[in-house]
Amino acid sequence: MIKIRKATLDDLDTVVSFCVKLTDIHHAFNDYYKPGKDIENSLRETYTQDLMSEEVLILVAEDRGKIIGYFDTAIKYAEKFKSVDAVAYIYDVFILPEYRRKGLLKQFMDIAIKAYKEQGLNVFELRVDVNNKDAMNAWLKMGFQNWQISMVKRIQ
Amino acid sequence: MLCDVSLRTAKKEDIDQIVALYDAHMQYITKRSKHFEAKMSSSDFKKCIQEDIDADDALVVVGEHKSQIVGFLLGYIVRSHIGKERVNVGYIEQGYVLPKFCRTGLIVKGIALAKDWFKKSNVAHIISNVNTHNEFSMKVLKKAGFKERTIRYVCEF
Repeated sequence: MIKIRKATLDDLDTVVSFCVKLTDIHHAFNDYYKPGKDIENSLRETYTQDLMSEEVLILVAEDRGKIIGYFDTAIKYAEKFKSVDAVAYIYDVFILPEYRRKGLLKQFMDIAIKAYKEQGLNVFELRVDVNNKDAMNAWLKMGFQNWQISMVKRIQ
Repeated sequence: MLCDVSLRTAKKEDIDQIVALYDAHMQYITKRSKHFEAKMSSSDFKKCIQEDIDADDALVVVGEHKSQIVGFLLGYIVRSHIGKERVNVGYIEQGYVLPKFCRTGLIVKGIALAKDWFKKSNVAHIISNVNTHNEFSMKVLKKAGFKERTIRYVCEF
């Protein structure tokens, strides 16, 4: 039986290890995402703060005591040129391969939607690497629409 | 026509003309995306431009033709995460050129000027966000050496 709950500091090690896996996946797409030398400590620091922040919502899915995925979101105040003041920004989602395509993403989203609606938000936003076709398909299936493309130029 | 247009960093006396171009730019993009309505009023934009012209971490480039500002481009630097590492990232936003001066290479030259400025500030990557329907801007950025990196998705609930 899979249970979804808010992550706590006790989940820090697992969340960090999942995020390292995500970084490795992205690094395979492009060298642009090459992790820094001290990535684990840097992530540990970031997630320790995030897990204590009221503006961050990190959910974990648990199957018989084992964490099988996480969903990392936070309130992001919109850029000065946008029509909404704030959005619920989805930073990272990772689900162990054997638990994918079982509706877990939808369950994460439903819980997050409930929490963010209570805070007066009504827009999710996220970014996906242009090579990450699986993620693109998953988000389109969830009702997301593409809006902007980030174009990058390396200059040094 | 480009030979008649000079590129330079903006001065205080250019502000009113830049704001007029901003209004034209906002009308253009608001028509094309409901997620990009003109939230910032002209007067707020004017204040921002005034600050940006003075700021060390912002750049305002203008194209000038016979004393008339015919285009502008805004750049700024933020500390951001790339692969979870914090680095200086340069952003190019809000570039606009009067239709008459489009397809003259003005934006590409403006980006080259911005690139030199970013380099001096230890910026390794420049990012520009383009609406997915805006094929023209994508084409221009590709011409300037940009590559598609991420797609920004939104979902209302």
